[in-house]
Amino acid sequence: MRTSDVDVLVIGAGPAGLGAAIKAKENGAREVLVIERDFEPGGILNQCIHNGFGLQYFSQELTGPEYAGRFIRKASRSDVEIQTDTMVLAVNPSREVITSSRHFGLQLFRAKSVVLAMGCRERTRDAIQIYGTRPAGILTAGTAQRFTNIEGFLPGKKVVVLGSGDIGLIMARRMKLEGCEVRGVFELLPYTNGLSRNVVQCLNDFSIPLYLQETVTEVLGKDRLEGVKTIKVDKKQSPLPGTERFVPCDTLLLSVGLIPENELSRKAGIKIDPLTGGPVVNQDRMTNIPGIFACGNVTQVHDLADDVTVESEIAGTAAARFRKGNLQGKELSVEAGRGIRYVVPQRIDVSEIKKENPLIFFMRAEVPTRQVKIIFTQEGEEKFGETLPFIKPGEIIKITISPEMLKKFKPDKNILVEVGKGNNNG
Amino acid sequence: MVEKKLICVICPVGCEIRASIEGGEVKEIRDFRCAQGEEYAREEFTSPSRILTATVQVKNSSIAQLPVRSDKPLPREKLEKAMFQLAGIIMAPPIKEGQLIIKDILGTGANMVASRDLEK
Repeated sequence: MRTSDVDVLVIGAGPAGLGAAIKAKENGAREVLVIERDFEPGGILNQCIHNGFGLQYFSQELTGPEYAGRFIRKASRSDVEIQTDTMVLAVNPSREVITSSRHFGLQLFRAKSVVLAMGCRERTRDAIQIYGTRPAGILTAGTAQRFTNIEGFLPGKKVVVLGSGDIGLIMARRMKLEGCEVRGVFELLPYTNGLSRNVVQCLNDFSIPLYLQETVTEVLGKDRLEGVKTIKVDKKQSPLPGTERFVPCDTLLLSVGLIPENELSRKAGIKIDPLTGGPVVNQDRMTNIPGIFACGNVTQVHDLADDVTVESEIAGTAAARFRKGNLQGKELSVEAGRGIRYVVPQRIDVSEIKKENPLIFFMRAEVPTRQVKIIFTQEGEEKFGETLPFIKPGEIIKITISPEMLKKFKPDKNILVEVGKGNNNG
Repeated sequence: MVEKKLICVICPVGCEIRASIEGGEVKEIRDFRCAQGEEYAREEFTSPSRILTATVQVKNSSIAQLPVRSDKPLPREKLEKAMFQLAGIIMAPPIKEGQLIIKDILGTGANMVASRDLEK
């Protein structure tokens, strides 16, 4: 087995991994190696051919492949090594990484720091347990996207989309543009989980109906899908008898949520936050294992690639600077309170409060709400607040706290982030 | 006079903006909360346009489809027609991001270009 030493080893050459690797180089890491299991770098962006990427980070509207291309070219200029067709088998807490590849066989890398950037996976039919037969024609939206946009196969002709996440909305439009009949997008919740822009430009533009509070209860068909049964639900998501209908279709696309891909992290003994599905990280995106960092969709499922880049640059910078000796050890926890589903980072190094860097907190709302104040408290006392005109679960909330404001926080009390009282649900 | 409404997509607030339209012109516009929203809505009510993204076939390559985009927005009603223009095209590597695929598609002034590099 080939054994080598590297400064920073990054797992995954999607936007998170490439962003982290480039930043690690810029911050003094000598050997930066990215391990990628696909045959080329770029990750899922290669199949996200639609535009809407880069508006925040590059102030320019790019497609997924264009966004990825910028990082691929920059990685190559920065002398970041990318090993493709290589699968990571294990990461251990002493930062040894074992990989398998057709070209190199088994390899062992000893890294000074490791960045986890494996991204996320889609939930499948099994995850939501739809009753019925097992015909061909039931795919996750992302699988259909890969078939259509890279491999050149159209998965069907008459399409129903279940779930209104962004990939589902994007694929509804994509299938329509390729000449399919898109029968509708069904969503269990009373609101969509996708960005408003996608509802307008993917559904409304093409008169594709969106059925809120209506879900698929059964799939029918022997060899090929012949249709789905749907039913309306009430506020508590209980089915409303008498509202059943049969929708003929040969393809059912599922866009029912994403799960951070943390099998390697779990095996390494990394603590996972049940709310995000990703590692518990501090402000540097370091996990509970010193020297192992995580960023991008492996940490929390982002809405925008631009936010993945922001997070990956934090992790890449910290990974390059990591030395065992400079750990402070003392950390506060940051918890999600009323109205907030989760907060990242979940921990803050106390010494960070005294530094001159602002801290960015990512969080998600539990329900859509108008005119809300998000407050950061310690022992019930408000330390920081920010008023937002509108929050909804489908759009991540980012709150930046300046070094000046950070000084108001006590160095020894945990922080609770919640929605201030007296807000109306909208 | 026609009454129209739309959801603003400039920010997450998602204002429902209404307008009275006559002869393709906005006579009155209301329920917007900011200047950007008003500008977006005016354009959206009178001449909505979109970037078109799609794929064309590619031969002798590691992938079967090459992603392409319009370099400018197209009138929304021409998107589906433009797809037929792309249907017959077959490309081969090497291809550079930004390489011309179709010039001035449907006379809109927008070009369809490759949106990734593809080496041989």
